[in-house]
Amino acid sequence: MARRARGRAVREWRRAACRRVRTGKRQVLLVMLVVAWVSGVATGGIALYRYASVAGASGAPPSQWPQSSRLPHATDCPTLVLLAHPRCSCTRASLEALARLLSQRSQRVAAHVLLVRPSGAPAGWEHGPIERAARAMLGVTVHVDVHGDEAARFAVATSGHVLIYDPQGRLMFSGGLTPARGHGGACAGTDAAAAALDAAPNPSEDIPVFGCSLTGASPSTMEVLP
Amino acid sequence: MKSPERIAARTRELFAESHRNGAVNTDHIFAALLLLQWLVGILAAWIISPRAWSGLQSAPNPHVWVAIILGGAIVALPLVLVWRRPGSTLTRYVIAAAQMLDSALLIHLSGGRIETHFHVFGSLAVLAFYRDYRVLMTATGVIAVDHMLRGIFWPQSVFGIAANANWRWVEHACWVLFEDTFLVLSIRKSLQEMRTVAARRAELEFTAEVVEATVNVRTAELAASEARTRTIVDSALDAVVAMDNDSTITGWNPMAETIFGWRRDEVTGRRLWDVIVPVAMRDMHERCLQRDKATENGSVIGQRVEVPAIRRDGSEFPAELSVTRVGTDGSFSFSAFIRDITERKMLESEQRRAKEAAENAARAKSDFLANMSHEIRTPMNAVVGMTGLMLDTKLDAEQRDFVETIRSSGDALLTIINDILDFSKIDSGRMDLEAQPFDVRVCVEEALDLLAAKGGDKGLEMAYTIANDVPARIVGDVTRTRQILVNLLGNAIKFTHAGEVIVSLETTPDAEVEGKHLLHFAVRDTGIGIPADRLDRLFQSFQQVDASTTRKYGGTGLGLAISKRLSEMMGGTMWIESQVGLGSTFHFTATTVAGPPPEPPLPTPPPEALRGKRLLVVDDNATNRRILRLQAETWGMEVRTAPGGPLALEWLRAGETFDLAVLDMQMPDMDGLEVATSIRRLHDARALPLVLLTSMGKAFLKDRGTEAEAFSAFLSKPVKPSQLHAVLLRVVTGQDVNVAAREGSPRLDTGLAERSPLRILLAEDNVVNQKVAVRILERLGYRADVVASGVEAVAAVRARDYDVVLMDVMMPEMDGLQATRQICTDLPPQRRPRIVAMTANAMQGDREACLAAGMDDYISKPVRPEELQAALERSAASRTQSTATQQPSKPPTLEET
Repeated sequence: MARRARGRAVREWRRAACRRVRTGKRQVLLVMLVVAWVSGVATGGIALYRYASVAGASGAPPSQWPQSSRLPHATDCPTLVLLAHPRCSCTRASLEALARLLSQRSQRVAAHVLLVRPSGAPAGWEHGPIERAARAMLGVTVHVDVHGDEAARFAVATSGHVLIYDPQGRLMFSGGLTPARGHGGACAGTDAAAAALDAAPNPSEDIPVFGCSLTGASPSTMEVLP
Repeated sequence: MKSPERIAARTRELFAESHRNGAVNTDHIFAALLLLQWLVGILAAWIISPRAWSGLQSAPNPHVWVAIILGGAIVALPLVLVWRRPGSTLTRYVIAAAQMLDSALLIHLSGGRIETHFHVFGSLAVLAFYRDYRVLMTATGVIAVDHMLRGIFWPQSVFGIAANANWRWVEHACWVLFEDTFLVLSIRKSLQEMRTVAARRAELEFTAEVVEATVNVRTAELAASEARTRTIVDSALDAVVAMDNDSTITGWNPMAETIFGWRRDEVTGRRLWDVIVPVAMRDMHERCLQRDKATENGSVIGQRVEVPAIRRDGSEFPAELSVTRVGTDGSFSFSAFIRDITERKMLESEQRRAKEAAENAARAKSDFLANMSHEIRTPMNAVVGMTGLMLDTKLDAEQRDFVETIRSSGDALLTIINDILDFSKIDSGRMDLEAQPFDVRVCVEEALDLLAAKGGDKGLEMAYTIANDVPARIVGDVTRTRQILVNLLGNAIKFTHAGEVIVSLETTPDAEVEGKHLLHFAVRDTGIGIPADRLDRLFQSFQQVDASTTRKYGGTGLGLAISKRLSEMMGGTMWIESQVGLGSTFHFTATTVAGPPPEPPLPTPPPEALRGKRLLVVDDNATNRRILRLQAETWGMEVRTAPGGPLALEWLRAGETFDLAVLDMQMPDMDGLEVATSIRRLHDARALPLVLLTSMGKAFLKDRGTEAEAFSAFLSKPVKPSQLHAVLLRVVTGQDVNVAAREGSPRLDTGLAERSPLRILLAEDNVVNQKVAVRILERLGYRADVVASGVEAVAAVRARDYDVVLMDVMMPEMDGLQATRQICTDLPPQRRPRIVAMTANAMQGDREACLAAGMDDYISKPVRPEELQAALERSAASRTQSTATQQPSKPPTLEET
């Protein structure tokens, strides 16, 4: 009877030990799982934020209003041109920033939104939410840049690029109005654009533009059309 | 564990369980939410930024892949943990982190819309469902880290500019902390409420547990009680039938099945009266029961009634029925208990017949005995009466001896008949004891007096001792007490040839009842003794020690049986201690109460008269010496006792002085007279007063007259304390003491019979009373004829002329009043004797009743010698007055039988 009791005690100890080992293994596995998860999420987040923070091509807009541009240049107020890819989702944030910018201005601004229809795009290709949003903006004239000629004249490559020329035709601002792809909100671009509209004497800094490529070609390959 | 600790522990368990269940539910909610958010994120990305363009070319926007992949990664681990470890702390922390990451992703995918930021605040609010502030801290921490890292590495994503303005992320953090504060407070409140609810649940559970345990116990007790009740009912030896309010049978126990022959299933639902009551009586029973039910009391309910009942086969039998009613909540049920009393009825009938037969037999026996005693006593009285007449004639010595023998034999035969009648009376329970106060000391003395002569004739010392705590007067039957003592003393004297017979009386007061005593009488003798194996038969009727006893000593064997029965009727018992050759002691006890105090104490000289006096007692009997010494010492005397004359003379010669001496007459070496003579010869003791103690009366002193002159006084044995006291006082002080007349004062006129001869008839049914009266009459010098009933008295008076009839009033067959009337009717006045009533009745009008019946005088019982003497003196005087008209006496005639 004593032997049987001893055997039973040994078996119980073994079972407890196995449970402890399994529990230990489970805990290690769990820790590893959590660590892997954190790592994966962090990696994904970093990748996302990197994509969002990569600006488009900045272009080489002329410092003077191009004479060949078919867009009207106002001589009594600043002229603002926003070039937008009609299908770029990030441009929505740029349009919203533009609307906020214009609403905050008391003086008149000749604002134009130029929807760039790339070569080969059929007529009406520019119709869409961007066009509707642009046309809904007050004080903004929407143009369609067929074949991207105007974009070429202004040497702008990225959707959402904003150019501001003073009444004398001098380039006061070139850059984007969003802090990141698709993100609205106050940023250096909106501040600089606001300063340019106020005819601040200092030229704006280099402001990144977050958006899709307007024509798919680099600015250097674009011809400045007359 | 005590109740509060149990409740506290259970509260903690319930709280933890509730918390955990809440966490599990919240985990499931978040699992669904995270899934939804993932899908919404994908949808949002697909709607908001489906493609990325480059001119005409487009590709799926990386946001869509991010929404799918990164979004899926964010929700993956939480979903796995919810599946595998729902409710665990790690699960909720991971969920909190994932929810915040999802918020950041949605904000980003929505392009930073301010509305999407509300997702953060909403998520925090939902995370509060966990009621765990650490979850909020985890979520807040994720937000803080995100802002901090973005502030460091990509400030423009947060603030729009590359510069890191610390106050901006503090501002963002403060808004989150603002919400966190209220959420934490809300969580605390919610946790308190949860604890309160858990505590209440724990208390309820505990209460429910207690109640359930109590209910279980009560249910078990009830079940056990019902089982016991069912067992009792099923095992009852009577039929037990349960009925509802309409007398419909609802219960029928096995004995009912046995008695009536119906099974339970056959009678359930039927009315009781239709099953067990004979048809002819059913209406009456129904009416009775209805009336009882309406009035709540009556002839059936709560009563035992005997009713005829019928069995299944229609046979009737007598039954005892009792019905009880039990009411609960306005409804009633009945229980009927039915017993088959057929056997009892038969037994009662047999007992009745046996009793009648026994009563008839007892009546026949009594009648037979009465007739027999009458038929025997009548001629015996005539024989005794004739012997009395013969003794009044001149007879020579031989003739006188013959006649004396005939008379004594007749007396003995009458005694035997009286014993038989007494025994019969006791046996049939017709003996009644009186309860009158009497002096127990006098009773003992009278018994001794009756037998003192017999004892003296055999040379036996007779004495008595009575303990000081024995009440002077007790309530009881003096006649029967004396009868027992006379019987025992008679036996003691009969079976003792030398030595002594001593009567002792002690008492044991009852501890609970004041005044109640257990008297213990003992008659000790130095006789032949009784073998131990014969003791048990002594108290049996008609039994003696053996047949030789009957031949040698005579006797019927009834005396002890009667005495034992009498002592038992007095609340006591009788037993014997005996050793062959050494003697026997007969004990009997009687329960009594102390009687009223005796008559006012007689004037006595102050006790100091004897105090300090030196008394010399000379008696060969050690018991006598002890009795005299103890008695004298109670009076303050100094006592020296000597077993014989030589020792006493030696003391006197040695110069010892005494104030007086008591000398026993009968001593072996020197008798009392010789000792007195020797004392008178001593120079110093010439004047010593001497008292002689004798059991032989004073008649023998005539032959020794000069020696007797040495004594100042004489005492007869057995010595009575009062007489001893009186004599000693008289001797010491010279003053005569008035001793109570009831103690047989020596003032009796012993010459009355010589001066006034009377023919006396004593009518007294009790033998002992007969002897007492005869003894008193003998002391007065008279001889009397004795009859035991009024019938015998009338017959005796018809047969012979008597001058005085001492008539006991209470006698069997014909009482004294009736006998007196008969005598007055039968005899002419000149022949009529003077009738003196003797009665114990002390009621007002008893004397008048006696006189109205024709009696001439009246004395009360117990008979006092002086009263009897006075009555006889009156009778003698009356006779003298009527001598001139008195007719000569006729010759005696025997009444024809």
